[in-house]
Amino acid sequence: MRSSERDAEFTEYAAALRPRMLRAARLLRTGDAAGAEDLVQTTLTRLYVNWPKVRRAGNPVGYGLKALTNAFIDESQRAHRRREHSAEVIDVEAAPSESTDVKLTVLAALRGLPPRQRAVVVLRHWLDLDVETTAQALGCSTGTVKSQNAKALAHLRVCLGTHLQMEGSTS
Amino acid sequence: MNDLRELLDRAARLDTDDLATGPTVQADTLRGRRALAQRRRVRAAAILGGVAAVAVLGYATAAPMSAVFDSPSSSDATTATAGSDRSDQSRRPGNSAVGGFASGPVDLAKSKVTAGSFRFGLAPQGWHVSDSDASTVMFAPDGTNPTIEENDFVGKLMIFFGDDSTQTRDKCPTVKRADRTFFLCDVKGRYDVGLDAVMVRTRSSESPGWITVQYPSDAGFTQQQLVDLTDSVEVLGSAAPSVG
Repeated sequence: MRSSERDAEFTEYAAALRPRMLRAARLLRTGDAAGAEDLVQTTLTRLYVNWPKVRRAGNPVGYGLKALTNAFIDESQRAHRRREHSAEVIDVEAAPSESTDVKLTVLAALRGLPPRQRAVVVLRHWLDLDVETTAQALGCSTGTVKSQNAKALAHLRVCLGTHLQMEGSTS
Repeated sequence: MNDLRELLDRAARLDTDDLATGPTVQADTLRGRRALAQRRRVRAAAILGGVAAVAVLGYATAAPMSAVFDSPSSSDATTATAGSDRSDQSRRPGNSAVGGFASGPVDLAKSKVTAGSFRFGLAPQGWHVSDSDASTVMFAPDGTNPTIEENDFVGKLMIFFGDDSTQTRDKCPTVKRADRTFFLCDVKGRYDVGLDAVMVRTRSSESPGWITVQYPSDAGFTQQQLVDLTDSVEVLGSAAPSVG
């Protein structure tokens, strides 16, 4: 594949997917804008290098979002090893408002989840992936996804309280 | 009141500045191009290194042989040196066929462990129950740091009860024991975190569903042990299938 062809295809792909990736990264990094940008850059670099695989994927958008989750988990493992927790930083608007409050509450609730449970929440409930696809993305059994999801939702119910109506969120 | 999707959507909302992608995507492409060039350089170096190693090995092999033919008087010394190298290598720890395997084999012991809604006739020695509920039990190796790693399923032994209708088992090899069929499945998917699973239907006396035993591939369990362990799991009446 010629370099110019790869560049053209990748540029179009990245331009379309980047905003969605950045939003998913904000959730995974619980509001840390700089960390989310780093995560997106790392993921897009990997996707460029493995561009032939991305092209062959039946669903290139889904492939990219799963790659983002995997990059996040890699990064979390390294952070555990280094005992660094840069995700503690939350970057939100300075002026408080009702929407800022909700955003802060949701991000704080996500921050209370271990990285893989957080990834399950984002994949299942924000990206709307089914249990099996989520299991494939995380490299575990569907039972693990269900178990992690149940624990995560129990935590979110407690933290989000009246903000949250859970019907339809558990299946 | 909001559903979870809507709340997550609000939390993930971007500012207007974040949506300007033009120059950013150019930078992404440039980073990708550099990373690809770097990877190609590393691969080329590895190939050259491999060729050089083969050449050196070829020379090392050929040299004693030519010495044998060219200079009979030096052959004894050459053979003695080569022989001495071989004996050094054979004594070196980690040079055997099984050397370098990080995890030792796990022993299963008879057990009366009841955790969550499961009773275990066998349990792995050196592992403890770190978490349990009506559908799941997690065993962690002794010494696991509870504050950091307790909720992470990687590296753990997990037992689930559920309908598991979404788990693909078609391509899994099976082992039959009495009237039960055990499915030995690779659950790695796209992202390999080193997990595999054994699945079996519950007994007719138990709630209908599937028992899944998910284990770290490198923990040292044998296939026989995994089937024994899975077969020893009893699902109690209080069990509730996991939902996702």
